[in-house]
Formats: sequence, structure tokens, C-alpha cells
Amino acid sequence: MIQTDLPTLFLAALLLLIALFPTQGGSTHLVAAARANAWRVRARLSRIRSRVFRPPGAERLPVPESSWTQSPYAPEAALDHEAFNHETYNALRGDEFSGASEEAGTTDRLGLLCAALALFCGVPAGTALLAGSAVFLLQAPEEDVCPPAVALPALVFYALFPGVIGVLCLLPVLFWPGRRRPLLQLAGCFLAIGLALRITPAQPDLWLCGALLTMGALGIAALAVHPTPRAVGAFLPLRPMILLGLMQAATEAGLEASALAALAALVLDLALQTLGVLKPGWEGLLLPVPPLPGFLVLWLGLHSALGLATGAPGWTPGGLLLACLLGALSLAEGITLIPVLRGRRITVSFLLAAFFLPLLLGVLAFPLGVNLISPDMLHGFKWRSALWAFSGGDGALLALPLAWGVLAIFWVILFRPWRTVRVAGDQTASLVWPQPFLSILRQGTSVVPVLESKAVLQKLQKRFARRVLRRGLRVRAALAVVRPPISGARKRGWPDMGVSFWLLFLGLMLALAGWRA
Amino acid sequence: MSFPLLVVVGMPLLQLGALILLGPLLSWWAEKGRAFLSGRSVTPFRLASRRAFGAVKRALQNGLTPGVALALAMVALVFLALPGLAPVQLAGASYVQAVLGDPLFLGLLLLSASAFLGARLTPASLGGAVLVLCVTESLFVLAAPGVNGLEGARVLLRAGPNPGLEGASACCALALGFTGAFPMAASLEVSSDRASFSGQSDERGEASRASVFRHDLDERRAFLAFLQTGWLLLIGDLLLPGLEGESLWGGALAFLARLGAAAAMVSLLQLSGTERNARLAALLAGLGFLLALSGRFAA
Repeated sequence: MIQTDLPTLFLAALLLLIALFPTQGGSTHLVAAARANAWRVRARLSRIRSRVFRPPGAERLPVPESSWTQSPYAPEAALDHEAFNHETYNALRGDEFSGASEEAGTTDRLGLLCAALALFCGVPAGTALLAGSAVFLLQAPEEDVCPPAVALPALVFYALFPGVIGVLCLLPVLFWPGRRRPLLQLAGCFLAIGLALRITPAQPDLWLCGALLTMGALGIAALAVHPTPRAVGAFLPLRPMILLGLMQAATEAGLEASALAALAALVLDLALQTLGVLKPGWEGLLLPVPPLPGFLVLWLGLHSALGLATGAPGWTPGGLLLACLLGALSLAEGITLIPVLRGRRITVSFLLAAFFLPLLLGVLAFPLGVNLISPDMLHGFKWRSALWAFSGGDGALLALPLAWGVLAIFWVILFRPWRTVRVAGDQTASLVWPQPFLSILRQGTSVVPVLESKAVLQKLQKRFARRVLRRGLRVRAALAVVRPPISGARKRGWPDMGVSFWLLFLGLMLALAGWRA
Repeated sequence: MSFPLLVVVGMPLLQLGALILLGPLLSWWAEKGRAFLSGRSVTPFRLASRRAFGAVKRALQNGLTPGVALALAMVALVFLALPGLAPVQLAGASYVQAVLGDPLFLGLLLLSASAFLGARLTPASLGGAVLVLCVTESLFVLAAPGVNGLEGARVLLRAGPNPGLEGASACCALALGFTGAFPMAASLEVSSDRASFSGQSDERGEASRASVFRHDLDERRAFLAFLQTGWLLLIGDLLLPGLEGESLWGGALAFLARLGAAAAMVSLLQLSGTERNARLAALLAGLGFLLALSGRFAA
């Protein structure tokens, strides 16, 4: 019972890629790495022991000093502009990003291997076992992981009922709110997608509703429980899930072009996430800014959702909602990525990858579509059109290579690379990620932007979570007791203008539209 | 394609040239129109245009820093890809517009160009503009399924009236105006990336560094004119998507009318002090949804 279809192979190959090729730029000292690994394994074992043998209220064990624990928040460091480069930035924002630049250790490799094996394994019990061990191996010592009291029943439930509900039960285990490393989030994403892919027959409506509710609750909990700037990123695993649901729904409705667009977006999203973990400078590939492939994820997803909304009558409101959600998720991606990237150099290899990767992965979506959408996918395949323009599935075309070409021509005309005299250490001679946000505090030329100030963001997030909670309570109260409404008119003594005015306005507009039509 | 390559390449380039020529005027109006209308004395137009064209000339002679060059390349792509000048008879000439004229694509290009140029926005403006652009894209697909961006909408509107599409598009243009994403010269900041420009730390070094900052800021302020023109073109194309002339000169007139309408809208928003109003933006986006849905169900 081994799954050997092409999508599983693709996902497992990406996971093994991270496991086999250590990331650059981290601590490369072998002895130190080995010692850190030993510390981590020991800490995990003792932690499990403490969980098993101690009451849950007991104090925590001392955490070993590994690289991601040394992250004191130092606000005065932010004000010193000269010292404010991205290394200080990573140190200042806590552990979220040092996980990406740190070398993958032995336990991480084992964890990724377990995740890949869980994808290959066709027996649900074995898959559940391997997924659980992957989560256990990939966690960092002081990370908040799913408590065993929740994780074990969920895993057992998946082993018994490996359907949509089973995979939805796995989601809290994979994405428990708290500080997380990108590696664990990535492995969880791959596991969820891979396990949901193999469910036949697909139930896209159940999958989409369940994933939205579960991931939305987990994301709001992450915002409330552990407010860091990266916590907005807790919503991001939702995007591949939405894309998967869109693909299945479009396949059911018979819209093969939309399904193919969603599949291309899914493939791009997963591959770019992998590359962002694999190579530290390449997180920016997922930024939803036009010439970069991250924009293509947004564009393809949006158009497949809208193609579904216009093509299948039952999906009109659902498709619109999903399109809006995809836009909001891209915004969240930008919010998490822009502060990290600011001030870093844009390298030539990054640009080459940003140009070639979408072309390769867009072509790769066709053979995957043979497996997932319909067997005669390759009949209408044309190399030239596939490489020249991306099709949104609803008639929309986007010739991204043409855009790259035009941008390159004008950039060379205006920049004149052959006339530039390069001075060592001169920042102006290289392309640097800009800072798009208006600063609130200015000290001469030093800049403390809004999203970099941890306190401001924490306050915002707490306020947001509290507001959501309060709204929920209010809705519950409204549902519980139906009271006679006290209208604003009676309270204030004059007729309530607002609602009637807008209703009149709306009626006028609709009448106008009907009259023109 | 039945049209020669010369036309396919030439028409967008003609549009690019026309927009570069019109840029300083539109930017001067968007920047100073409010003060001008209220009777205050403003920088005369000839100084603004001399500054902008002088900056272009110097850029073509000496080259630019890579970030500013990238921002201007993005603006040039927007100039090429938005349907502006292409008249009716040369419908096939707008191939570039057909494959690149996507409102979301061009709007995000303009936002990133303003980031690279150093015109910074508040996070609310930036996020609101991204959301409004996503809504625009959705409404285009919803009101007219199967069309391809702004050029496709224009072709569709040539075939017959489509009030749902027109209304939704105009609502999106207004909503985009209400997000406050239109870049103004006041939002240009001294780029913090230039802090390590000069290594000298004595007094003379400080002075030279200050002059470098000053020159850099002036240069970027001059180039902001073209970014503002790009925004005005996008807003104008969204505001009046069906306006076009029958002949070559009619097409040019319609082009000018669209730009003028966008400039009028922007200065009207400035005069009424509502260039950044999240509620109105949300209201207009919702109204656009309603119009698009009603047009779709009416059809």
C-alpha cells in the first residue's frame, strides 16, 4: 500500500529537497550543530517525560540556550538607525525567522523524512503515526505544540476515518497556535494538502467550509495567544487549502480551465514556500508584487475562483467570497514579508528564479492535471502558449514574460549598468527591497516604521482579537434573547435617516441599472 | 495577426510618448490644483514642466540609481499596457494591452513603483488599495465573464452597452480614489537606504551627504510626475471604460477626456477632503458589487 501517483511524488520530492540540502547562511560549525541537536532531542524527551509524569500545571523545564531562544526584545536597538540592518531585525523580532536561516539539523531532516513517508504511506494508521512523529521531530524545544490530549484523539480519528473530516481533525495538530518555525508550518501544509488530495470522491464544499472554519479559528487564536508580527502568517496555510478546494470544485463543475489555473497556483504556492525555506533570500518570491511569481499565485487563484463563480451557478457567492479571501491572504503575506525583506539586496539569482520558476511550474501543472483533473488534459497542451501567457481559465490572459522583457528593456535604458562605477559598500549601486510604509516616528533620517514596532502591532492584534470575541458574544446574546428593538429614531427623537437613505439610494441605482439595460 | 509589427509596437510607443508629454501638466494639476482653485499662488506650470523634463534629460544622459530606474520602468510598462490612445480602426494594434491590461496587475505595479520611488503610504492606504484592486478584478470578471482586462472591457463595450460593467468600473475608480493611494510629493521621504552613501564623517562629508540627499529627493520628486500620470490613466480608464472616439482624432480626444476626468476626480476628492476615507471606499466597493450582480442577472 504505497501511494505512487504524481502529485504525491511531487510533494514528497519537495520535502526531501529541504531534508537533503541544508540551507545556506546558518551556523555551519559541525560540532556546534551536533551539540545543539543533542540538546534539542534531550529537551524534547524530558519535556515529554514532564508531560507524562507531571501535572500540567507544573513549572516548565529550563530551556537550553539555542539560537532561537536568544532573542530579547530591545526597543532601543530599533531607534539606532546605523545598527538597524536585517540581522538585528531578525534578532529583534524573535525567533520566527531565524528558523529559516538556520541550518536544518538531523532531527529536522528526520522529521521531514517522516512527513514524506507519511505522504507515501497508503495505510491510514501508518500515515497518522508518521505524521505525529513528524510533528514531534520538527518542533523546537520551547515551541507551543499541540498537547497530547488533543493530538492523540485527532490522530486516532484520522486513522479510523481517513476522509475529509479526518484531515480536518489533523489541522489543529499540524497548525497549533503559538510561535512556530517555518519548517513545521511548511511540513504541516504539505501533509494537509497531500492527505486531502487522495480522498476520493472529493467533497470540495465540505473541505472548504471545514478548512475555513478550522484555520480561521486557529489563526485568530494565534493572534490572541501569541501576538508577534509573524502571527498574521498563521492564516497563510489556508491559501493552498482554498486552492485545492477550488480545483476540486471546478473539476466537479466541469470547468477544466479553471481547475487547471487553480492547480497551477497550488503548485506554484507550495514550491515557492519550499524555496523560501530552502534559501534564505528567496522568501520574497511569494511577495504578491507583479513581476514576481507570488503575484501569479494571487492572479491565478483569483481568476479560478471567479471562473467558478461565473461558470457554476451554485458557486456564485462562494466563489466571490473565496476570491476576496485570496486577496486578503495575499495582503497578509505582504504584511509578514515586507518588514523582513526591507533593506536586503535583490540578487541576480533571485531575479532569474523569479523569471524561470513560474514558467517551469506552469508547465508542470499539466501532467499533474492528468492525475487530478481529467485524463485528457494533455490533448490541448501547447508549449508556446503555455510558456508565453498564463491563462486564468475564464478567458483572461497574462503575458508575464512580455512584462519582464519590457521592464528589463526600460530598466537597462534608465539605469545604464555599463556606466555605473561600483564603489565597495555603496548601497546605491544595487537593487534593494524598498520600504513602502510611511513612518510615524522620524528621527532625522532614521525611520521606525509602523509594522516594525512590535508593541504597536501587538496592541492592534490584541484589539482585533478582543473585538472578534466581543462581536461573537454580542451575536450569541442576540441569538439567545429576541428583544423588542429600540430604534435610533425613538431614542434620538428624529427620524432615522441612515438606513432609509441608503435603501433609497440603492433602489435608485438598481432602477438606473435596470433602465440602462 | 493581420497588423504589421510596426503598428503593434508603434501604437503603444506613441501612447508612451503622449503620456510623457502630458505627464507634467497632469501632475501639476493633481499637485497644485487645490491651491490654484482656491486662489492661492502656486508654482507656475512652466517651472514644474522644466523640472520634470530636465530630470528626464539628465536621467537619459547619466543614468539613475537602480531602484528609481526600476520604478520608472514599471511606470513605463503601465503607460504601454493601459488602453488609452488606440482608436477603433486599429483594434488589432492593441495586442500589448490585451495581454497585459489587467487592472490588478497594473495597479499593483503602480503601488510597487511608488514603493521603489520612495513615495510611502500608510499601511491602511496600501492595504485598502490592494483590496480595492482585487475587488475591481472580481467585478470585471463578474460583470463581463470571459473578457480580458481593461482592453477586453473596451471591446465588449464597443459591441453594446453594458451598464453593469460601466457602473461597477466607475465605482471601483472612485473607491480607488478614496483609499488615499494616490502618491503626492508630500509623501516622498528621504530614503533610509542612502544612509551609507558616503563614508566621510567630518563636517564637509555631512554637507556633501545632505546635498546628495537633497539632489536625490528633487530628482525623485520630478519623476513622481510620471507615476501620478500612471495613476491618473488607470483611474481614468476605470472611470470611463466605454468612452472612445470613432476616428483617430476622436480617439485622441477621448483619451484626453479620460485623463481629464481622472484629474478632475482626484482634485474634487482633494477639495472635499475625502481623499482618504475607508468607509466611502468600502461603500463604493459594495455598490460596485451590487451593480455588477444586477447587470449579470439582468443579462
